[in-house]
Amino acid sequence: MAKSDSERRTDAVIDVRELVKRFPTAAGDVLAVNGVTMQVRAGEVYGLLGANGAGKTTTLRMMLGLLKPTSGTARIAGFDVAKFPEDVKRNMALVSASAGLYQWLTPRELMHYFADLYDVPAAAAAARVEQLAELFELRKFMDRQCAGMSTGQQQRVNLARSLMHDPPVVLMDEPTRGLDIVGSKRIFDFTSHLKDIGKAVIFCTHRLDEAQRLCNRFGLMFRGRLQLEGTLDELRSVMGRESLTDMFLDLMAREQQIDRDSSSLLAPETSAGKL
Amino acid sequence: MTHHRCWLLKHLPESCRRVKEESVESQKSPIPSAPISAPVSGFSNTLRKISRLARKELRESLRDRRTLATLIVMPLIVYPLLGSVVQKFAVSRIDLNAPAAAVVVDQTLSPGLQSLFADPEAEQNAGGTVVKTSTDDATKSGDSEDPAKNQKSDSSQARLEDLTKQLLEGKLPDGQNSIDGVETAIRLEKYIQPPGTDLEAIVRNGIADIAILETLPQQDSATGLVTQGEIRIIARQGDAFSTKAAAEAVRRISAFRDEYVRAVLDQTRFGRQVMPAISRVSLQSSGPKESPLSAFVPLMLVLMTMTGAVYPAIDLTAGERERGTLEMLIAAPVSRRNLLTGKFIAVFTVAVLTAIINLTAMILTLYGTGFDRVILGEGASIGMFLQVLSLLVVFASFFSAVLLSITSFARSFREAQAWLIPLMLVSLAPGILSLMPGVRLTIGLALLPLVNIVLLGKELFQGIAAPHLFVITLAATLTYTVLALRLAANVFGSDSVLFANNSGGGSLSKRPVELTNEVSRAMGIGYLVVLLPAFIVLAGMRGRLVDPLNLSGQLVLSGLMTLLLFTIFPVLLTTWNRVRATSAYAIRSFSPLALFGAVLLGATLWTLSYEALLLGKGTAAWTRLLSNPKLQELAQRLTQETPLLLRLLTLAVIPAICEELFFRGFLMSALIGRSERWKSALFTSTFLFAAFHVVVDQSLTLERFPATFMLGFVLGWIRLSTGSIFPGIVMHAVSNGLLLSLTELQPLLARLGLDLAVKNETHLPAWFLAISTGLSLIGAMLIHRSSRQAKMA
Repeated sequence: MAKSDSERRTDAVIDVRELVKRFPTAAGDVLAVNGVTMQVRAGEVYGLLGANGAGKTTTLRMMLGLLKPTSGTARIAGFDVAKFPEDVKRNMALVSASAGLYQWLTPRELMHYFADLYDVPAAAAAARVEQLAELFELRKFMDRQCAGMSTGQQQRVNLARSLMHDPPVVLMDEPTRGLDIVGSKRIFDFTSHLKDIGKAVIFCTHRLDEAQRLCNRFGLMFRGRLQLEGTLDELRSVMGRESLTDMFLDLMAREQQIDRDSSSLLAPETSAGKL
Repeated sequence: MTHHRCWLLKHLPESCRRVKEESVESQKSPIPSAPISAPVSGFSNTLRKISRLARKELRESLRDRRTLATLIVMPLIVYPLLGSVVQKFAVSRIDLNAPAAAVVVDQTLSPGLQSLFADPEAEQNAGGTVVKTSTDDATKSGDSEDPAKNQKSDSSQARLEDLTKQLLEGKLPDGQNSIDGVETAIRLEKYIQPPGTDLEAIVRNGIADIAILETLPQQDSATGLVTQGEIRIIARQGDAFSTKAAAEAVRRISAFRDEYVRAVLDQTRFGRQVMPAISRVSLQSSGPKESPLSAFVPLMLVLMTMTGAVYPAIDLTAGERERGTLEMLIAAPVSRRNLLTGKFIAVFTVAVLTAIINLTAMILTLYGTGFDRVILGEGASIGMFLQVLSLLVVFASFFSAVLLSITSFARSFREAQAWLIPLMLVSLAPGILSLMPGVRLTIGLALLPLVNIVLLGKELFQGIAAPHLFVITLAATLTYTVLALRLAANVFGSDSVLFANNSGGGSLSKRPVELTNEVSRAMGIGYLVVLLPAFIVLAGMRGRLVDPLNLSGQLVLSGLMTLLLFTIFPVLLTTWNRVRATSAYAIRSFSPLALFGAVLLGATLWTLSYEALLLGKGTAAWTRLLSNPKLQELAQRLTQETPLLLRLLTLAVIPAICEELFFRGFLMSALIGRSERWKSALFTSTFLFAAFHVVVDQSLTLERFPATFMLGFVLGWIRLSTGSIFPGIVMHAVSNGLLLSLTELQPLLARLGLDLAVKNETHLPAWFLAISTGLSLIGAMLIHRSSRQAKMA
């Protein structure tokens, strides 16, 4: 598989330009994502921040090729999502808090199953299962059905499963939602580990304090638009605020002021919910 | 695919390093340097992946206790339970020592034969009180003597009467080994029917046990030869009691005949040297009696197969979405079609396993309770088992596909169950319809999903299934499977379904707010899928709602049916979806020129369709096998028994309006779609138009295909070139109307030397054809011109 038009190549593993997603709904079209452009390099954790319904998940789904963008392009590891969707998927992992496990399968079966789906050769898969079992401390219950596991155990199995094919890009969609302190800490440690080993990571969350500690760069999303982008220092100098939370509140207030000025009705919230 | 290597053990965060140090050995495990997820392509890989998907789904399903419950536990409990219940209530039905068997005979049956069977009214005193005559000895001695001619006659007569009495008592005539006593013999009671009654049907329907038909010997006036007569005794196939009664009847009639021959010969100069059999006595079997059980068992099997598939189907689609595993799955490099195929194979396999277990449990139960003799015509055999199994396998594939296409819409288990309840009810109705006694599989019914399977199952059990209906049923069901699977793939893969939020219903139930011009393809195909079974069911119901002999009533019903299926329902559908009626049904203005052209075409084109009808009849001789000769008779009766105005309204005006609105309006709009596929829309809608006209009242009239195809093609062309539905409606109405009033015009036509009866297969005269074809061409040109003008304007 050749990377065809690679003239626009950057060193960014994730290269998203002008992504737009418009959902037709009963109340008329909704712009869930409105012209999002971002680049993420290897070894970088990009914090995609925003309130629920800001368009974060929709952006991730378009990067993965699960949703077709209304316009714009997304390139992952050099592959255009529109042209090589399978290659894009092969180069990406999706870690999501809402992901479940197959209750009647064991972690080992589950991991082998996903290895097969990602065309990982059997020998490599077997080695990989051992490594991940080691890393996430799954040894004790590798051959027990997932049904009886604790939330923490399920979370670890889910992480191991999503990384079976060892991709260069990891998308984390609200990975700490519903987890306790230990679980959240495991996610943070794991994410900074991914950063260390040179993965390009997008970390989506609405918990800004979490993100502030973890990410190299930030994108603040609001109503489908990437309102602000940069490192923490850059953002501080632009917004004149110390914490991301304050910046975000300022941003929201500003948006609402614009709305009032133009005396227009509030744009409908995106209808893109969870799967 | 560039630069990632296995990173795990090289750089671990603090929290993980602990683990690493504990297991130094694992560091040495081979670390692939190339990307470990390598793209593999090709057909074999697709198959490999689908099989991988299916294996996982299957493993998951089979580990689920709920699946196992429906798969194994249900049949093990249900069948023995049902068997014992039915046995309790129905045990008397299969009593082989029932006191009397009912014999139906024709009034015209020879009195001598009639006297061999008891009169049911005389039942009370017949059994034991038949007075034994003392002529026994007399006749015996009479045999050996050589009396005078008139004495002979008397004694012969007496002998016959005596024999009759003996036979009535169930005793065997003299000179044969007798079965002792009256008790073992069956009492045969005769029920006399008017001449011409279908006695075989009476036996088949279980009203009587045997029938006796007689064909008298006849002397040919020219040659003087006497043809052999025949006495046929009809027993019900697979019914032990009926068979026993028939054997008794054969015995009595043979004994009587022999005695009669003896008596006749005594009076001739040949004496007893020659004993020609005047009539042959033969035993024939009717169709087996339709026990309500024989239809119930296949229905039961079908329902159990359905329940086997329901749980995995929900679990693998809606359940997967509910548990949040679906997103992981579609994030993997597997096409959604392959995902669905894998799920289909898994659901199908579980359904087939359910079918096998149920069939086995059912047959074992039948053996255990002795019902196999009632239900199975020729007893259970491996062949029958395999035939029924193949039927269930095909059904399992069909139902699995239907299930998946429905459960793919649902976002949760509960929602999927709610969706499936109407489906189960809808499938029960035709299933119960097929329980009615006397319903046999026809070509029309063989096209009806579910009904065809249950009816064919019933007939397979009875051993009377027709091979061509077996093939048609399987082919039709497989076709529906493919359709349902395609629908499921569309639904499963669509974004709106995958990522629909929980606030509203699925894309199906959501009503658009804004008006649109487009009839979506999904809407068109979806309605077609519903239309075909609805068409067949309603056509079948027509005969039950109104007496089939009341032709006017039938016409009104058929008009209503056309109105409902081809106009009211589609209009409701498009209105609900806020499609502009003007664009969906091509309700647009047109030039008077086009109207004139349409009238010309309508008035002349029937000559070509008449010829096409003859062509259809003539060239495809095999179609005659499938065509229904009763249709011709029906047409004749229609003209005699119904007013012309009613015929014109229900067979010309209503079909012209409704069929045009549907085929040239709704369907064509849906087929043209956004991508403006004019040609394929024209051909597909024409094909469907012709196909619907071939299915008439549960029979296929394939010879109509060329004629209706031509008509549909011209109508479609008019719709496309004028952009309006109206000229087509006019042409359709004129064409149908003219054909209907042909009989009224017969005298006029006869004066022109035209003989127009398709059954006579006479072609129209060349001059007439030439004129009408010329006029047709002028009509076509007018329409073509008007469309050019419209474009220029």
